[in-house]
Amino acid sequence: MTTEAKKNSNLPWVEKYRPKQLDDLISHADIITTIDRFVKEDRLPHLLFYGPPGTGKTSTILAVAKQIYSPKEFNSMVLELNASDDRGIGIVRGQVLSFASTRTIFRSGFKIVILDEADSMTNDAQNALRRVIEKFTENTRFCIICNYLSKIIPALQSRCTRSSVDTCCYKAQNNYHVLCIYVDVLMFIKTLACCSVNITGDGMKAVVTLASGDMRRALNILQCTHMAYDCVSENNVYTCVGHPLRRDIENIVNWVLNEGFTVAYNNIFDLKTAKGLALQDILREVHLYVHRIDLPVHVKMHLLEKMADIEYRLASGTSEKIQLSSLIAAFQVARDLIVQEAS
Amino acid sequence: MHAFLKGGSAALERAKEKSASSSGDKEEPAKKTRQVPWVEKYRPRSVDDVAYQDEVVAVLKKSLQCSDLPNLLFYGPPGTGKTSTILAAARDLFGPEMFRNRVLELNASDERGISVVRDKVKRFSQHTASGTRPDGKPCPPFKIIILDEADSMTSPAQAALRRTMEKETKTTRFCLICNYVSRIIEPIASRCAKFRFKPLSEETLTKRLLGICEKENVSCDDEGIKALLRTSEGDLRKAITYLQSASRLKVEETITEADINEIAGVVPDEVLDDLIMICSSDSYEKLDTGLRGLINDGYSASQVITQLHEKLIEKEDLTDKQKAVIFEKLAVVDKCLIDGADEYLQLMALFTTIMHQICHG
Repeated sequence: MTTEAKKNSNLPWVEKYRPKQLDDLISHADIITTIDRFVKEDRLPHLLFYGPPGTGKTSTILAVAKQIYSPKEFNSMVLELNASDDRGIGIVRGQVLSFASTRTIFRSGFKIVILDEADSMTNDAQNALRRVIEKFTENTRFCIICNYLSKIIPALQSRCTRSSVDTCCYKAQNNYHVLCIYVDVLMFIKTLACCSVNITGDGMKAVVTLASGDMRRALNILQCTHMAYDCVSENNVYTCVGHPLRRDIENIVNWVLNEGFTVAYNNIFDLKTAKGLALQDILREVHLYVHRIDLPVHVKMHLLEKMADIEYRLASGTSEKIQLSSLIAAFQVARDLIVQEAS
Repeated sequence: MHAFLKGGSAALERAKEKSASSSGDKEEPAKKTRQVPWVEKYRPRSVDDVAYQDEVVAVLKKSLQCSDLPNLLFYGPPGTGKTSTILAAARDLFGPEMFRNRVLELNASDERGISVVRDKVKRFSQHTASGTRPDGKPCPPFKIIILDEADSMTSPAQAALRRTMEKETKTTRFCLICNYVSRIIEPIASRCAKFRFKPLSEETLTKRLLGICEKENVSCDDEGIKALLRTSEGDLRKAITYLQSASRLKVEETITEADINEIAGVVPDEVLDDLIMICSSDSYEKLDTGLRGLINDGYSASQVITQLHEKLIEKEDLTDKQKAVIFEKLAVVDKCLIDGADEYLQLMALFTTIMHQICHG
């Protein structure tokens, strides 16, 4: 065993399997090829990445930086600032400005400033960035990463596109879509080959469903299940994260739609205690299920509205029992509405 | 003798002094243990002691073997062992002497604004930890930062944690603990392995409580234990606290259901039955007097609605339609009470709804 492998053995899988170079990245093929071309032609524009968590935004830019610079140069050429660093207007005016405005003696070409989690930067700080970005384009490229595009001021957004018009970049402003499911699965198989995880087909499907496109969450779930059980099967995955199974949800919806109030309550409550489910998880799954049932529009509207109310009340810490009966009550009213409709 | 020393009343103390002159040496340790709340005394010392949370325990045990731990996010209702579990795991990982250097515990009582995250947490996480103990035995080469009650952290502070969590994985693992997972921002939740702590099952609770009874030499009959299970709703801490209070109340006597109910502030069944009776009489004056009486007796409104809920669920002379209206109202009142609304007004609103449903529904 090499020392490298030994050193990494106790890393969480999320870090262990973080892409090391551009080729390792999966999905987002169009984005990767575009960036790859920029890197090869050595004319990287200012970049703005946005998208939901766990889709590989930070990994992409780190891989790019690693590809451009050797490990020795890395520290002097890349400035990474994230929300854990103070990034008020003072830092933008001081640290960022001095980094961007200076050249290194031993290496021509540009430096990279990575502003991770830029949506938590204050508006003032973002405003202060505007001129900095334009003025030092020759010397420095900025890469702005955020979850919510709306939190980045329009002036910055336009700079990340417009500044790159001459470098033929129509894609500099990239949206990281939720990862496509199949690509995810492929990646899993690759991962599993490295660490010999015993996984079944439905277990893999379960992990992918629960992760809902978030690679990081998928790896976390997988690691936990692997550590807790010998075999990663559908049942084990759901028990490990404490998520209701599909047929439990089917049962619940059946009960609330067909049984009397008391019976439905007792049945659901027994199931809930036996499996240790949280009402919030049940609610979310039932919500998805209601979408798929064929119901008259106004009945569906009633149900969805009531469920949103219940979710809100639960979030502020009300008793699960009482909210559960309120959920059953909502379905009871829906049933009455359907009967009225029919008559 | 030990049980005898546990007695709380002054009369007993005096009797003890008279009866046992040789107990002078025994008195010291007994006094010491008496001051510790049982909740602390019976906190699990190792991961094996943790009751009922099988998945987490399995993961932690595996990580003890190969010192391979992901970032953790524990969530679940209070009293299910979240803090105990991670503290026990840390103790198992590092041993008592390294515990202090390797674990940083921050809870809601510490200041945890964005500046603390940037300074204290970041600095602590950047220290490297060696892979050996002072005595040469191997130990995991990382530190643990426990952020207890993380749901009360502001979202900028949580946002500031994000990259720190990833960048320092070589040297630091984070463990976030909270009651409501929806108050943890999505990017943080995605970086952690999430574990839900279930409310404890009745068998587990019974086993633990009986074990404590035995060790503390407290006698508690079956009905008493059942009352504890009912009032605690899977919250072991609550159950133990009630048990301890009851044991102080009834020195040297068997703890009964009535004692537990009194300590837990349970509203007697007759009182609630009376109120429901009044509701069917369709008289606001009577209801008003009844409710004022209830509040003057010092029962808390949330206790009233919890019990009322149990009663109404089983009530057979209400139609499902009436129940639907009542329970919807009940849920709204529950939320209002949580937000700090006036107890009398809320209960009045609830009971008039019930009255309307029973008499005119």
